[in-house]
Amino acid sequence: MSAGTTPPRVLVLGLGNVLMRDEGVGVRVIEALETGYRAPAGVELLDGGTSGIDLMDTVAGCGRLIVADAIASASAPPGSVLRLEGAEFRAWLRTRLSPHQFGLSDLLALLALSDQAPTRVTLFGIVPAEISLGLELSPIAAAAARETAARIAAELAAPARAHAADPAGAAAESFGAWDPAWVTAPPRAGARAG
Amino acid sequence: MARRLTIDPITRIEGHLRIDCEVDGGKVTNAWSSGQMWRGIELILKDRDPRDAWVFTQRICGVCTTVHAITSVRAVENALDLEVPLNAQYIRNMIMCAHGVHDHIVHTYHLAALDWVDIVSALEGDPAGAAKLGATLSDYRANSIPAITAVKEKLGSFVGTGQLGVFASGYWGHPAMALPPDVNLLAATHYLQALEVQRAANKIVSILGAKTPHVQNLAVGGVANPINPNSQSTLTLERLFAIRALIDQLKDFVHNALITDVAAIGALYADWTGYGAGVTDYLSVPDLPLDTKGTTFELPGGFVPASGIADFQAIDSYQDAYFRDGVAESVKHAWYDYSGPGTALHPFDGETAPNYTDFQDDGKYSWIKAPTFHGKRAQVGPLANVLAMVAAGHEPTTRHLNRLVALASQIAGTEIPLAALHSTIGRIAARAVRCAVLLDSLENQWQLLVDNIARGDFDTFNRPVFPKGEQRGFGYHEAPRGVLSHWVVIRDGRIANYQAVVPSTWNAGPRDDNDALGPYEASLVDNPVADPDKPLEVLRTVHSFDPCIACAIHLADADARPIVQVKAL
Repeated sequence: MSAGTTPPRVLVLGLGNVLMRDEGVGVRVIEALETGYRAPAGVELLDGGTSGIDLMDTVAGCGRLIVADAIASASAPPGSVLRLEGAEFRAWLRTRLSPHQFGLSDLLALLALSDQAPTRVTLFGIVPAEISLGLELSPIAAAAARETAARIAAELAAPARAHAADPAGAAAESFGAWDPAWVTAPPRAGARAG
Repeated sequence: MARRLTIDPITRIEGHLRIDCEVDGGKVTNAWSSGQMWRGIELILKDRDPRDAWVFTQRICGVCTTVHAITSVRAVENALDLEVPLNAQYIRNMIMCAHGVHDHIVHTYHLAALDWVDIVSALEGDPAGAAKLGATLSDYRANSIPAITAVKEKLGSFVGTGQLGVFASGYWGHPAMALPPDVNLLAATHYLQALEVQRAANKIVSILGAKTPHVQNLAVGGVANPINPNSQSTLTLERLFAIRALIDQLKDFVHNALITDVAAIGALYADWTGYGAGVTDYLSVPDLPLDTKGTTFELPGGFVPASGIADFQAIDSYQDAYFRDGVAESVKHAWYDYSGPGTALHPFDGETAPNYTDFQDDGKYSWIKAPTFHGKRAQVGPLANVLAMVAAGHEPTTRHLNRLVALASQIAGTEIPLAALHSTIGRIAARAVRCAVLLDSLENQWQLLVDNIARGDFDTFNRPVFPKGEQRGFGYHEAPRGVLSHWVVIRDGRIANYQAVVPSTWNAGPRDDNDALGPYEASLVDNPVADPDKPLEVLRTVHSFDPCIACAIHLADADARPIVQVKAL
């Protein structure tokens, strides 16, 4: 986004470190949404990685924020997708159960201080199965990422892409191992040929 | 009675740094710095295409994405002896300057300031008094009574509802908090204004990097920003002038609020110029290349030994052998094993084989390796760079430093010598100076880019060619937290070895092969601690380095547990 653009009505933000397998599941949800669905006007998808305050300019002023992130849970088994909103979400922020919470909770607090917090925040928390060095999601987390993408798409009434009969399934193939689109398709023709 | 103090995690932002101190008689007598998760970017990059490495390295850390991306392409370009078009150098330089300005503003206000500024006391401040104080420091227009009153009301409602939120971890009312309420209120006002201002710096990175937080415009051999003054989809004059306007916003704040706040707060905590020196051999690297080969730079860098800036040794180019041959990493006290004799290895020969033992005070106790420069520990960061730039006679650095020191001396009512920089406060002051220097450089690089385009040069990319056989390269960058270097060994077009020696490795590393303390550890010894249960003073010194351990280590810590533990020894 460039200077002067209006903030999106809805921002879907995926958080996580893709170098640590399921830790990066939130980012994979964004990939699944990008490849499998057409985002309606006013909906922006963003791979936030493990950033915190760097996201402030993007999150500031958006009407609704949907966050996908890995979440630790004592009761829910790996692959569970937990949807938290309102008081539940605020309680979760206080318990430090995500490695990115320092970033996210600080970000939201700072936005509140400057009157630019989103009016509604929803968290889709995915319980990871495998957190270790590597680019591939565990099969359990990959399925949960597909499920999460489908649920977010349904909430936003985002239609599936026409070319894929099973959009979530098609998306899943794209993130077996993390390989961002611009690695295989360079931003400038010729930049990578050689 | 001696007591053992453990603070884990020590960072407000992500990253897992544990600090252990022995405290006796109200001061620290021994210290250990430990990274609590292990890194393995080297293992992920092995056998990959060197042109893709930057995409992965920018995922090492959520704070320094850009920094790792640019250093990675530099390392590969160095291995290939690949020149980088001037436009690409200028665009990268602008991204690095804007990122640095952003990082220094955020660190100073949102991460370090609350160790010194008492937010609860700010609520007792008088807006008229704070405005009057502000007027004596600068003519910053946002120091008005209405602006300060509005901030006070906002803070009051925030704290009043129990929503301390981001302020929850502060040691409000701690005996070491020494600022009068009006000063706290003025600083709190700038804390809130800085939230808006930092976004201007972030916008510059977004415009040039095509996206934030992960830039997409890099390539080994240049940048992927096509330049065409007549096309809307490229780097247009309109976009360049949007950047120009953002630079002006940043200058007003940095010159008239950040520099003056640091001078005033530093003067009021003048006793802290006596703590936290630690390792006083300093390493920094030159940055902002001005030619295609990296032989001339806008900002100097090099080694400043403890004996003083008169003995400064410059690092001169991307081929500099003094830098290249000087770096090694020890694992005697880190949770890794080296093959062979086990002594420190040069990064080209670096190994990443974990060997976790448990926390052993005299043995291994950290996931961070201990780097050395020609066998010595070195402190890195804005202070190291500012000292090197002063030693090299860099005019903007000297000018901004003199202004800050003169203002602080005036407030303190005594002449503050250059030696006061070797301290906890000195690191914070140097960061403010470097922020102003980077802003000048951002403006200059903008002009260089515009002038070069005006001459009809639209080149942004040279295609890399990978010969058969082995090439070795290193890339360095004077990042917000100091020297960052990436080291790559390429064999038949694939990565055979890759090592990242990050700033927080230099500063937060454990003891080395000679059992010499790392910079964090050394800086903590003799640090005062009034109350081991509320170790504000320890946090002041560690935070002055701007710790960001996510580079070295990153991962979940799912258990909620107390951050500070104290036990009797």
